[in-house]
Amino acid sequence: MNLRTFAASALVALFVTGLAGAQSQDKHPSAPPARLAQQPGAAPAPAATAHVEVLVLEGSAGDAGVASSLSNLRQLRQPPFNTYAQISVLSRTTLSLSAAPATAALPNGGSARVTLAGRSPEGRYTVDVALVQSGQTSNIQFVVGSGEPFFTVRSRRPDQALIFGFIVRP
Amino acid sequence: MTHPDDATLQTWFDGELPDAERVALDLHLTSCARCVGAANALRSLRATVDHWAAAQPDVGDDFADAVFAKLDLDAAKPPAATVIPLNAARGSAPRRAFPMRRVAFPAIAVAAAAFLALRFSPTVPDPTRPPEHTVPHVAGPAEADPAQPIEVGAGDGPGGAEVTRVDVQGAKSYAVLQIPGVAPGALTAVVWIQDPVDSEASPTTTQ
Repeated sequence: MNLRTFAASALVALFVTGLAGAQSQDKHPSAPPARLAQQPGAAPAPAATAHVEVLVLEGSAGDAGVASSLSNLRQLRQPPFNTYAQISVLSRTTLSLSAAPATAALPNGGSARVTLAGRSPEGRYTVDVALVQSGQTSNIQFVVGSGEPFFTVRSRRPDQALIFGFIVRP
Repeated sequence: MTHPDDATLQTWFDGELPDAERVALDLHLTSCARCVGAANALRSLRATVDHWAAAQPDVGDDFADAVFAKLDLDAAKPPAATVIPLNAARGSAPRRAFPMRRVAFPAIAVAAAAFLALRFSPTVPDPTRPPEHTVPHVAGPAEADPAQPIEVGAGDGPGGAEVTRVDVQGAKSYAVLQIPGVAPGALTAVVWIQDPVDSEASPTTTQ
């Protein structure tokens, strides 16, 4: 490619782009361009149309059984969760799920940072979770459909654990 | 966890219990003297059987070959437990040679022209200066009533939850288990992180 071809390509592209941009502004004079809604450097992700409910549960050796509000989470009555005779709800927090991280404080003094990493054509969500505890961060990425719970457990003693549940909702 | 029945304990002893149940039973055995006693009884029984088996007369190589053939057949069966291969190697397709001279120069010309048009056109806003109302709004955390029932659903697509990356810090160990999901036949993953007990914990790893 010589200089003349380069200049001709640039001029044609300049004309076509300018024409398209002007027409777009005429049709939607007040609508902001979609690309501007994304933070610089952020991975491509859908708009923040989803939420994630962060459940913090405590499994212990008590005798109160599984909390009644958890009755729909039948996984908690099966292995390995049935190790704990009592499962209670410590907190429930709903966060906006988008490419921008959202953070929920945890009862153990740590935090859970949740970020939407992507969405599949089938509508399943790829979610990044960063569990921050005493200055140390554990990162977990999972793929899940809306309404489907995902669990992670931190246990130090056989008779006690913190159970974190994440449920994405549209 | 309630005490396992004899069949479950025997399956655990044989190493044939699915991962999720095995983890639960391992935890149970750390605190239940009764079940530890039952496990020790199984070990004693196994030792006795092994002793008497060793005392049997030699039945010849054919018998041994038949037994090992049967064992090979059993070993070839798929395992009951499913473990997610987090570090599975991913293949990479060979790259094609990029036609630099034919494609790159026109592409650079088009990109430069597009940038100039977007930057200086009076009818198109400056892409490098987003207005305030286009910054994504992130709602603050909303606390829910712990007593309200938690709704779950089968979700979209094949159902279940799949773990694609785990990087755990400050833990003794971790395991990725699979348990039944909401949808029939679907599996959902559980990341089980075992923290060190207090006597093993460093000051930076307390829960």
